[in-house]
Amino acid sequence: MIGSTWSHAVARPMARLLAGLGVGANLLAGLRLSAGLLAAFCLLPGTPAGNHWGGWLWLSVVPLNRLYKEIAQVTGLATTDSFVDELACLAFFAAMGFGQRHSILGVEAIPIGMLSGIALLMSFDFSAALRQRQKSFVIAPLRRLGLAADDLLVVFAPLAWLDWLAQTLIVTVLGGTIIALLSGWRLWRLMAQEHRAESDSPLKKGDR
Amino acid sequence: MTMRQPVPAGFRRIVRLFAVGAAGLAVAGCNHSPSQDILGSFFPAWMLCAVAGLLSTLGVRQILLRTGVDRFVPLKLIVYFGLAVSLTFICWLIWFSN
Repeated sequence: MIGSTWSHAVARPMARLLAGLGVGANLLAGLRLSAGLLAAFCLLPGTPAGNHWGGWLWLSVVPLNRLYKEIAQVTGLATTDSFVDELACLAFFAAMGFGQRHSILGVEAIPIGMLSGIALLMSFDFSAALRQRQKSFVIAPLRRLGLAADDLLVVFAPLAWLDWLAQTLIVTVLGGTIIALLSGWRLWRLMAQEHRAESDSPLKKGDR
Repeated sequence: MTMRQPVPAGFRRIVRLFAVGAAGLAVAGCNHSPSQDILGSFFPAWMLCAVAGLLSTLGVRQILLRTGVDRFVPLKLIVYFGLAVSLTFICWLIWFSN
């Protein structure tokens, strides 16, 4: 089993059903990437109609994301490749920034959009790496609520419908950067501790 | 079957002149091109911003490499390229947007 969150529990029976119908993980991964890039494309003009459609498409991306991984698991293609998710996420935020260039943020929205995508990806990946070593301060509280970190991406769909994307960008760039920096710093400290413990160990490579 | 009439050479020349003139009008948009005097040579501002963005990204990468966190960075090529572009834009907005 890949995960034990609410979204995994919902996706698992659907994945079994789809796998029985001959739907492959690659097809769903392709659909997920297309929907993500299309959602990003819809956000580019920054119009309310574009944001509305972008929000709907993004809403379809999150279950597809879970579903293709579950199908890969069911059909024995245990995949840990998250290239598709990360590329779509980065494109979505870069497009959000470009679309908000006429908002209160002005042209500053373009680099803010790119930076928020990068910060969000880094915070996700650093937190996942941290979780493998000890309890992550981001993932552990979410797990207690039965959620995975990437389930939070679904929040961006209603924010797009409400046309709160400029505010979303500010919160994401600040929050994502702070979480990425803190997670990166903790990872560095943990790796330094591991390295020190290895070098202090009486069973060094030469002594074995 | 109808025969196409050959386009007179004079007409073709007028169209070409008009197209070149119209393209020249678009150059008016390039009147704001800030540049910086560095040791007597004028460098376009975008080039300096690109260099600043690139150097800042290299600095960030060096920090991540030294700390060992770089191996957890996703989609390295795209992320570092995006970081360089973002920092270039930020440099431009800070120094030359007005």
